[in-house]
Amino acid sequence: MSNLDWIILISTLSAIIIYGMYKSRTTKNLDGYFLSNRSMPWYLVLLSIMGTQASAITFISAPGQAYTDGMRFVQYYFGLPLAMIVICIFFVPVFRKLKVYTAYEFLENRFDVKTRTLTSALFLLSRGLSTGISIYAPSIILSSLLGWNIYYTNLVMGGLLIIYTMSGGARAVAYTQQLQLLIIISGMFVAGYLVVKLLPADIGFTEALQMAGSQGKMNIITTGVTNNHFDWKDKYNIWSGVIGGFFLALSYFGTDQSQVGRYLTAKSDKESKVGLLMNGLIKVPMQFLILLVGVLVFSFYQYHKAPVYFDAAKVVAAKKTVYKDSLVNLEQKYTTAITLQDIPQLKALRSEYKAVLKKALPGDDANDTNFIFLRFVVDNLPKGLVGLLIAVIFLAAWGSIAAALNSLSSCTVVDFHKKFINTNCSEVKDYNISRWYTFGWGVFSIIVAMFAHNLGNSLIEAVNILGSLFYGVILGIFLVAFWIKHVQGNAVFVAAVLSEILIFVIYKLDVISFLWLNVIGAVLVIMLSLLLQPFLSIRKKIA
Amino acid sequence: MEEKKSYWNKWYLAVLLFLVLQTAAYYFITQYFK
Repeated sequence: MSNLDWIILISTLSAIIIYGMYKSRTTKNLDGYFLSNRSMPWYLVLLSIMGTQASAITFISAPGQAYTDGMRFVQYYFGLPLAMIVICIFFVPVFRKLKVYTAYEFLENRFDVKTRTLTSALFLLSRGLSTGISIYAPSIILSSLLGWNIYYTNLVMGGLLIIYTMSGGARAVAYTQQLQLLIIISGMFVAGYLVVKLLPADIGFTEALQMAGSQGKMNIITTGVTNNHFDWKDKYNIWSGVIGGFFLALSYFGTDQSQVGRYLTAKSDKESKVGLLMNGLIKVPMQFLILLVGVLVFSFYQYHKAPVYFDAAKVVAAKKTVYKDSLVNLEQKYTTAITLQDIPQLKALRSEYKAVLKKALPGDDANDTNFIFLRFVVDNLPKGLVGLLIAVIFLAAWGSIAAALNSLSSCTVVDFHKKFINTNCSEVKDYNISRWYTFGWGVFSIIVAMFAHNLGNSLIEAVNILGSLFYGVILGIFLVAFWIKHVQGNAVFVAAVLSEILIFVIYKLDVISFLWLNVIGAVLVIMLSLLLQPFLSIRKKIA
Repeated sequence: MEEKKSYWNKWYLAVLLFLVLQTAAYYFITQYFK
């Protein structure tokens, strides 16, 4: 990075921290710290929802995903608008009427303490680990690409935001997310514009897409049908997107405190709903545009020499082994194939190169999807813009991590500390404890990041796989709560525990794409609780 | 109350319609660039 890049990066990050601390004036009680006194207008709710969901992984990994696999990943978001509608109709009125701090408080009203505690614990576990990955994932890429020390990168990625998140709570989180998103969207537009500008003079936007389309990258809508049968292991198609994606979005936005906490800050039901529905309108086109940047980068590399492998640091490490000659030989063949524009040969050589890398560095993940976009940025964008795009990565990470820490703290305080440790606290004590829990979860997440290795595949997939392992069951609990009134706490509790075990078994067996686990988890909880309710209520009567 | 319901129903329809229109647009784009 040039000096100008460093100036822009450091200025941008510092401005966010200062702005976050400036916006930290909040009422010193739980309402102020976790819900910003329920005072936010719909547009801040919207930006907060978007900023929480779109982490650094979105902006690093999604363009790389489009580069390697095409546009079909956008289908993953098709269920989201449907989920927004369901949440507006069923979830928002209940949460706001009960004036809950956390989504899980509602479960105690409906079922019992143990169901509330179990669900909150599942959330804390999944979100805590996921936040660690959200720190590690962009850090390892930046550290590898730019030669930074991974531990310091983790600290900056996950540590500096604790300053304003701890002091300002939900209010600081929401206002910083507003500014962060503006910078992120501007940065990505600039990147997209420049990719097209860097194409040869006779190649415009449409020609670039045609080139990409000829290589199968403009596969926006896919059916998942191959050889006349539906492939259940096919990751991204219209059906897994609409159905599986609907369940995932319903669980994430309806039951994950990191999102529920965002729209609970709204000043009224209407502001909550408008924020959510606007998210339903904007999210899919936004994701489409992010992926399109990846497709344009693919087109760019059809006219410029693409690296045979985008993670240069891994290549350097591999060339220190006995496989150096094999790698050099493949690189020479690759250069020849580029000259001849032999696309099938280029694909084959890339696969062979990755296979040799796997032999040279056993145990390391040979997938370079996550390095594609940033490698393009570092190699080709002008000075200053590299700094801006790296800042975009940090800001995207900070937006989602800050919201996650605020939500982890709120659940720890409301669902555990005030419930089991100290039931009678003054408002000021509540506020102080909440700040320390925010700090504690920040430290925990950084520790997870420091120990995370080899997540495998695209990082955006890794986070969503982790989510899919828990979200289905959590959603199932809420669906039973809302719509199956005769099922009580014991039945749903046992059903949830059994379902979670079964989900892990199904995942390990690798028989179905992870997106379907959201559906399966929810359906299992519903069916098992219906089956168990008669027996558990009979046992209660006998007792 | 009915007015409120009708207001929100319009929102929900708008979101659904936008999703359907988008999907159709993406389908045509897919076919065009095949």
